[in-house]
Amino acid sequence: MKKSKPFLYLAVLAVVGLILGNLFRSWIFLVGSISSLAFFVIATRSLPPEDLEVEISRESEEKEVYLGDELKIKINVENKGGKVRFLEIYDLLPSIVEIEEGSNHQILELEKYETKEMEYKISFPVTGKVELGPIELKYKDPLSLFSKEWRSEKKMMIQVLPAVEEMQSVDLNPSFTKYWLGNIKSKSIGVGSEFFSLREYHPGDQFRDINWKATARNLSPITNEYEGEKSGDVILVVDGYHEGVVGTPHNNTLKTSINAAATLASNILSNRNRVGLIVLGDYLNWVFPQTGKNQFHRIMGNLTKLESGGSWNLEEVKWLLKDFFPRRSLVIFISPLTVPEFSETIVNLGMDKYDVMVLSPDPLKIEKEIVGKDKELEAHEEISERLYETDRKNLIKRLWRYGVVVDWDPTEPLEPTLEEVLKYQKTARKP
Amino acid sequence: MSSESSERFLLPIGLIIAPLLASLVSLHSVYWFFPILFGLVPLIGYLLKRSFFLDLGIALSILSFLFVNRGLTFSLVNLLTVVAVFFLFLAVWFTARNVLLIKRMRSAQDDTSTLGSIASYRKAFLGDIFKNIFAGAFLSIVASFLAMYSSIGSIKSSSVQMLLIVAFSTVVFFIIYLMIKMLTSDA
Repeated sequence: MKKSKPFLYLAVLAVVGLILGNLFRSWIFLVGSISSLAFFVIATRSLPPEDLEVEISRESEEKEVYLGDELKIKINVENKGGKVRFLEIYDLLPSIVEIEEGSNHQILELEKYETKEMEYKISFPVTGKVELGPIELKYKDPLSLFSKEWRSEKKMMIQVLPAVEEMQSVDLNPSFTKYWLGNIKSKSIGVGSEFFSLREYHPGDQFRDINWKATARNLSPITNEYEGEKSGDVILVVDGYHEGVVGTPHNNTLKTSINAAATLASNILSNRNRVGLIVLGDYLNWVFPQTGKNQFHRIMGNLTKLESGGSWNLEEVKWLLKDFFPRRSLVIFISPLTVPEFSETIVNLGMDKYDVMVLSPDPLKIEKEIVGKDKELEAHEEISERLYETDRKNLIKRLWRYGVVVDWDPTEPLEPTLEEVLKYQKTARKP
Repeated sequence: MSSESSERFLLPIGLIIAPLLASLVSLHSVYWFFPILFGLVPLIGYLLKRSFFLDLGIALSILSFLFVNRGLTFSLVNLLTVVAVFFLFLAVWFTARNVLLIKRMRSAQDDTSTLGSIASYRKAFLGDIFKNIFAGAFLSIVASFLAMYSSIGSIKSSSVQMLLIVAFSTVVFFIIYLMIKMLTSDA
């Protein structure tokens, strides 16, 4: 239990009153001492109750939330003892957490055995793991003479997953399909739902596949054939080289690349394709292509942990792709293309007949968003901007020879840009 | 009157009135201006939101008031006056401290839900402070009366009186020691 400064001053008054009373032989100082003591005696009624027992619990200890989404935090405060007039509750939050509604700091009055709920909403500007708590509690008496502070070690672990943009009109599929079932029309006969052709009945054909109209016309049993729906493999390679990251810690090319990778993974997996991941950041990690919800969580987990850094030899990426990952996969590089070695690796893989696609968030657009679009540029800044734009255009033009390149403005949604590029690719392929 | 205006005007007025009143009852002394002089310190402390100056200023004001009136003869009227001024200072002191605490809490956040709980605390503490002040004043008057009349006032010999004061002081010191010991034990 802590004593406040007024407590100390009153104690000093009581003692000094006695000394001065004896010194001056004056009753008035003794009255001062007695008054101070009388006030102390009365104030002891406000001491924290002996049965002060407040139990704190959180609604959950772990939670996953997408970047930009709001999360409601609920804290239950249960008074298991006598009445508490003033209880200050302060849920300690890391500095990156933003409070959207309510407050993590509240003052409660609790009746005997009363339970109250404390609620507030938060959001997270960056991906990663965030720990909320511990919770600090402070009891105060009405005169603020005594206080008691303690901590509840109830913490909450939150995994902030990259933001996933829902894409309605874009289906990103690999050019090469494998044997397993999927959503890609393979232009060959197989298992599927779309009618392809008719053929004579063979023993073993399913009864429901018989085309009765054609059978009646032909006077012999005819069976429907369907277009096979297959799936393929897609490997996402995320460039997290520290030297190539442009922007602030909360808004940079790596964060946009991570969000884009999460969006693509969600889209490609929803079409029953297999998706793999290679991340090049403070560590080199990979996830072997698989399909399903579990794979999505695996990819999200890896993307959440990704931090910029590393000095990886890009030969390792080539080696990984050649020796560990299935051939004839679509390799999507997500990179701001600020590191020349990375662009060279893309060129090399393209030359090795890999099906390559590049999704490049434009670092200049991020920089402009941070600085402010309307900021007037100085002459030398304008020249350097133009030079950079020309360099980037040339590089993108060069990469187009080896695969599809999506030059993306990260301040805009990904879907329209991707749709436009895929449409352009289709028309360009037509003779 | 709204809570903001009462914080802005009423409390500073209270902080001015208490030392003025203390000086007014001390006009018989040549040092009558002491309480006013020391009374400026808590006022400045409150206006600058510095609780250190507020605490120190009030303690000095009370001590200066007691010092200025040290020659006062013991009577029921004088006792009541001294106790009243003493507890007036305490009332203003604790109210000002709580108002400063609320201001600090309010400036730390702009959330309306928390402001609601702060407002309810604000309403509750005033009642608590005044209950404590009145109870303290009553106890103090009774205790002082008993101390002055039953043990010290009835004995005429000054040496015995001195001895009793020392004994009384020792008992009081012992009580303070017990109190501090009790309050410092966290168990």
